[in-house]
Amino acid sequence: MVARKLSAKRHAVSGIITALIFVLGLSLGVIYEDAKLAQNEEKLKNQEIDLSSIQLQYFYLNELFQEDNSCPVLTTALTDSTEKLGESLEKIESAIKENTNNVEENKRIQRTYLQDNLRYWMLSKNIKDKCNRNIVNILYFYSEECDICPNQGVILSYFKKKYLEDILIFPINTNIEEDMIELIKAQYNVTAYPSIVINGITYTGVIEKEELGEIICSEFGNQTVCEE
Amino acid sequence: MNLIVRGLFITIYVISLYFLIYWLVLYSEVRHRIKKEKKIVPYLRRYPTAAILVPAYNEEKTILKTLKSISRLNYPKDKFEVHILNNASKDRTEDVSLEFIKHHPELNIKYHYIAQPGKAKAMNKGLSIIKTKYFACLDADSTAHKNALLEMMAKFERGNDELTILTPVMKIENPQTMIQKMQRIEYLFGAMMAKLMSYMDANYVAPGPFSVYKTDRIRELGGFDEKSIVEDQEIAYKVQQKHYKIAQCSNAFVYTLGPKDAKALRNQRNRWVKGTILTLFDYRKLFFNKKYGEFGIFQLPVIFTYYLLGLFSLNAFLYFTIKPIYKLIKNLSLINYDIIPFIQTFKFTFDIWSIDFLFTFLLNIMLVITIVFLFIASRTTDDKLIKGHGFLSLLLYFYLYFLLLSTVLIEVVVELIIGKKQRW
Repeated sequence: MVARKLSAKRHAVSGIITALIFVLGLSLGVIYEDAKLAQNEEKLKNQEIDLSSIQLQYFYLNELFQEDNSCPVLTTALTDSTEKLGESLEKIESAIKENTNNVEENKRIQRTYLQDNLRYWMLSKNIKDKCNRNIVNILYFYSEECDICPNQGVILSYFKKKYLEDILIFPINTNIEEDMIELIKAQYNVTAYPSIVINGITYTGVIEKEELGEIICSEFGNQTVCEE
Repeated sequence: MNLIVRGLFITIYVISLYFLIYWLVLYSEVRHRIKKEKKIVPYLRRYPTAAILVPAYNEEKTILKTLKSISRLNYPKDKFEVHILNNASKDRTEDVSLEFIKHHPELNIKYHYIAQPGKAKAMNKGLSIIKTKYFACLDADSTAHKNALLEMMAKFERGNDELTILTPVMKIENPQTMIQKMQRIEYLFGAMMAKLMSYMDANYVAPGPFSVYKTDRIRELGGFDEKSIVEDQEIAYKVQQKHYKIAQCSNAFVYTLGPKDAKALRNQRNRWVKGTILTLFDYRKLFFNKKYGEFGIFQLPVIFTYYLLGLFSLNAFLYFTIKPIYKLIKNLSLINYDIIPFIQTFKFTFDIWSIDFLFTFLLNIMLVITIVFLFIASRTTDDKLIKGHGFLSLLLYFYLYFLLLSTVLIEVVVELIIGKKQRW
């Protein structure tokens, strides 16, 4: 019986085209990842500018006004910025999870975000006192190894959506090496995750929707936000 | 997604991409031959004899149409004979057949009752009766175009001695339901592939509706395998194993009724998929075997990879659709399904920076090549891809059809593992 034909040339041509497409995909993928990182860094820079802007406003307020007439502007600026910070933090975290190259760079970005977050937190505490506004500040400690932490995250973002500018949430990723975290943890006696700190009181473990709702409402005091 | 899973996905995608590109390269080589073949006017100096075997199992509703299409065949009536092989039907197949015979004295048509079930048995019985040079099989749920036999015979007589089976261009007859419309697209693609396979001697199936065989050669090969549940595939493997040729006849059209609903399709495919896996296993020695040319080196791995891809795409579907839905429900339960705050603040955002680039890139390249093939196929089979059939079926074909077949595949794998008996 005759030997059957095999077209080596056709296989070679197809192989080369496939390889070219694959390499093209890989290279475009690298460009894409680079652009993604650049995008993230740009967001971070914008965030830093927003931060210095709101700090500037705060100092201005502190220096020139002893009365409350700048408070509405200030609180609006604060909530806007924390919201922006929160959004880009989420994006940065998911970007970092996918992007395993550039570990050092990622750590740096994460750390800057964390510091920004803590600055905002301190600022919001000051504004709360100065402007006599019932903002609820929540410090949220979590770690990447903790399985139940995302549950707390869902419940927190629910209240954020519900009360909008009346709540400020500052997520703290404890995996990041930052001395400031240790300081705050020691002060509020945080030992396990998830933990949330509201008005100086530490709650450990996942706080269910009902319980957290009550805590938040009692913080609002006699305000009508909770009465529906 | 973790790295190993991603690596597996990308490997299987790259292999599939290679196969698609190979077909594209092959097409660019043979496209002039395809065009030329389509233009050939069938011519026969002498009409060879042929038998048409019509195996029927409970086909009282469709057999009449099949027989009518045979009576309209554009071929000298004294050069072909018809054998109705009633495969132990429990309905009125016999009455309908005999009635037809009475009204068509001009046809040389015989009726046989075969007590044992199984299409291969019926076909072998037919094979033992006939004395014609060629024979065709026409399932009783299909109809042949009036020129189909003439085209086949002319191609057979033009071809060399090794040519053993000619397959038709199959189309779904008058697709009504969405399931049938999706099959229409699948058959379009299948016809294109079968054409391309002809040029590298790699056809692996001789479809039940109107494949034509060289009688002596099939006898020499021992006829149809009565143990196989897909005897039309088994015979093709047998022919390939002996290095004989199978080709598609571009101008011989045959129309088959595709299953109307998902359940019927599932039953049909369950048998096909199981048969394919078992046949593939029986002929595993041909795998990557250079002796069998592109059939061993290319086509068998393609079938294997196609199934692997099926399993993977189902997994991908679960991963990208079911898992997020599960997560969403779990999250909703945490907030007691109070979604009003989310609705009030909802804004739709698509983040261009959240995709897996390589993954998306490879998938889209494959999608584009498949669509290109579908367009070529619709042109070479004188069909329309979208016009008159709607765009929806094309969209669903890409989204749902693969999924449907993948579930059948998983079902079959499970059944094979636990050793379930095949039902017909």
